[in-house]
Amino acid sequence: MRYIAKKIGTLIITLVVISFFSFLAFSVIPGDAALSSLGMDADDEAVEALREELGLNDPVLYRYGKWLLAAVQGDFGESLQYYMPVKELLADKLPVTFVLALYSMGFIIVFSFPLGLLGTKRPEGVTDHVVTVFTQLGMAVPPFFLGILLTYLFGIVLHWFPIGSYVGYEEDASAFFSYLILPATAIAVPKISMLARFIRNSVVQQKQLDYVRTARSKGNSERRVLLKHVLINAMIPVVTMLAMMAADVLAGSIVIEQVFNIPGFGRLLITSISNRDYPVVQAIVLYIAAAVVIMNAVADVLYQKLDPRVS
Amino acid sequence: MKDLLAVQGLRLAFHKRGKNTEILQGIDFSVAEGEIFGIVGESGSGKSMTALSLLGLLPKDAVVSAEKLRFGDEDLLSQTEKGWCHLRGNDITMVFQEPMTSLNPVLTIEKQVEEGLLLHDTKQYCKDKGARRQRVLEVLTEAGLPEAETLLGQYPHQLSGGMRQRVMIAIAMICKPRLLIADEPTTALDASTQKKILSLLSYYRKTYHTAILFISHDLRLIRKLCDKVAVMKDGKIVESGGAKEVFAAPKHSYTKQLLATLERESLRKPQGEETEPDTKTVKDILQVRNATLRYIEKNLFGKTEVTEALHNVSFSLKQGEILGLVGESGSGKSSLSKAITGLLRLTEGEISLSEGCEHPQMVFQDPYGSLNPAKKIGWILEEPLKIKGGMTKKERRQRVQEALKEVELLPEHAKRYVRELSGGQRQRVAIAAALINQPKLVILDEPVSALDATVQEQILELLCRLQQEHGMSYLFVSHDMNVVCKICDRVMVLYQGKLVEQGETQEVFCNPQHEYTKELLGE
Repeated sequence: MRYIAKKIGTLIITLVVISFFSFLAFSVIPGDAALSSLGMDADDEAVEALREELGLNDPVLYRYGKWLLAAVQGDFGESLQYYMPVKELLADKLPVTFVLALYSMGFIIVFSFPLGLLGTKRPEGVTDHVVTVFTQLGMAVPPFFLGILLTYLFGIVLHWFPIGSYVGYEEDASAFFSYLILPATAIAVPKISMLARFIRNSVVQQKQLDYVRTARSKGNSERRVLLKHVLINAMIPVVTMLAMMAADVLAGSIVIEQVFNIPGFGRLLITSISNRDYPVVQAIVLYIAAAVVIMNAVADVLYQKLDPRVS
Repeated sequence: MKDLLAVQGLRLAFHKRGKNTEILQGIDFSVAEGEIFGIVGESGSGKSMTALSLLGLLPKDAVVSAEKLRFGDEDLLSQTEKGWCHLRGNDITMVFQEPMTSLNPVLTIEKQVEEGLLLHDTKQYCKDKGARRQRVLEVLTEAGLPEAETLLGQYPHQLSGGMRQRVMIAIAMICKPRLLIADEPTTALDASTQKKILSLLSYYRKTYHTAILFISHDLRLIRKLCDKVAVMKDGKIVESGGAKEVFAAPKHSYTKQLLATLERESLRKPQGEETEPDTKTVKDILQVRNATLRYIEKNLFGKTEVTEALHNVSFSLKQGEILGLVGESGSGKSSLSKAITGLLRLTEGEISLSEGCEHPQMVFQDPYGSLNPAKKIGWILEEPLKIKGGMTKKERRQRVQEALKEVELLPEHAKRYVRELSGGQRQRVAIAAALINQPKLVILDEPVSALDATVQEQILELLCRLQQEHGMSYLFVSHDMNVVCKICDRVMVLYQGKLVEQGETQEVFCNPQHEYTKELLGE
């Protein structure tokens, strides 16, 4: 319990630090929100007036404090390019991206374990080598290219999946989920390959340890040795790896949304950065950071549950 | 008596990349029901491989053949995987050498002990959790773990080495096997625990009529415990018979040699008598005064818990002296040596090192774990020179070659990795690394405990020679009284953080004063 309370404490501190630095970044990098909102031809007085109105002339710390106080209450301010509350702007975009990321994580977990375990029965055997070739291939292909490839194969050649016709969850849930299969696959394949490789190595390494010999000497079958003894031990590093992967998947979905024309926050983030729409960027950064930090905290707690040596 | 296990013409070879390495070259022996049969021999003689072949647990690239390999009515040569699973843990069980790593680190003791019941005694115990727990408690208590209740929910890392080995024995005994194979079960344990484990094994034989195949490099243990003995060397049994007869009148030269190393008393005596040092002029190189060390830990509720690792320890070490420090695990030996090297700070008291020996070097028990596996030997030996500085690359290489020669290794060993060396060679490398900056004081922390008898002897001889040539002082930490007796001028006995006895080696060994010292000496 104490451990979990401590984790939540560090989690909050991490989020505050991240939000502060992303806030600071926008006041340091060149570019001006007022200027980009009025256009390059605007006269100096109008820009200055808008700067004053937006509070851009206040000291950084003051502005940050004001923003943080509002953000805690769920108010992220108003977008400088769309003139609407950030909260509303993100309301229908965030869930899409998170669902896509979760979808990909689901694929990663479901496929990487069997694939990783396939070669461990006989390390360096034929199956192991074949799996190695495929995982290496999977790791080498960039997700966006894989996305294009999948679209071509399953969409244009085989007509298994609709292309370019995104359907919202509210309209048709099953169409929404079937549309997301290809992008989720594109994100997941390199990660599945990487994780399968990692699981394979972890299991093979564990199988050489003394306790496995003890398990065999008790009369456990090979299958039981793997399931009851090796797997729990091999999972310990995999849990940490999975948490790091979750962050990567979230970032990866931003790119894939572009390829598959999915209205997540990926496109919004890109345009907001180039237009210095810092309230929007701030909010998105905070959401991503929160997701990542929470994933890591969950992994840490899980790690402690799996490994009694950690306290 | 009926033969329980009959082995005839057992051969074992490894096929690796077309190369064929013979491990066992046709060995014969048999173990009767309720008999304790000892196999003795140095590491690499094939003892452990013999044991593993009786359980079908050999590595996959091993090729076994035999004229006869029978256990009761079962032919072990033609067992299917299913047949093996039935035999293992039920009729034949095994206790391994490494208690620290032989248990699953993430499962509770109860889970690991009860597993045998679930696998083999399906009818009686599978459904009844209460009966199962009862049996687990019974077998743990029998194995000499009185507080079995609290153990159930604990994990291996919370137990000492001796306790873990008792848990291993409980696991092996829970299904009351007909044959228990014990492969160096006490090698990693200290003397007093060793003795208790041996009497435990005798107890099982008497109570359950369990036959025991006891494998060890330690003749002393074999002599104490076994009815019959086989002496192994290079994959062959060179001599076998009743334990009493073999030890009383050894026929083979190798057995004679083994017995001779056992009886040789001190390696240092002859040289010591030639140059009797003048005690007044020799200066103290190390002085420890009233050393007290406490570990202060805050527990979950913020309460401070104080454990005293050292209590008011005072002694001095003279130049050119080998001082033995004995005690069982947890007695404070490691804390003391760490304090001297500066790895730990004393709570009270003082440690003063004389001028020119501010940097005592250490040699550890486990040479494999303490040498970097990713670097070549040459690099490992060169590193301390680099850190010290003041030498050109050529001079450093020169010094590394000298150091290798000093520890009787070859120049080409510099290009090898740690994993390519044997245990004895690794310990030589560790010694070379400690000596490379020519220290005046070396702390040897169980330097030969992980090695078998003959290699132990060689390393001790090497240490003695180097000590004489360089006039160094050693603080020799060990749990093994026989080793200490061979090499040390003086001995100190540490018990629960206190120095309970110190004096000349001969005196302490012939006339021990403290109860604990007597126990260590097995009196």
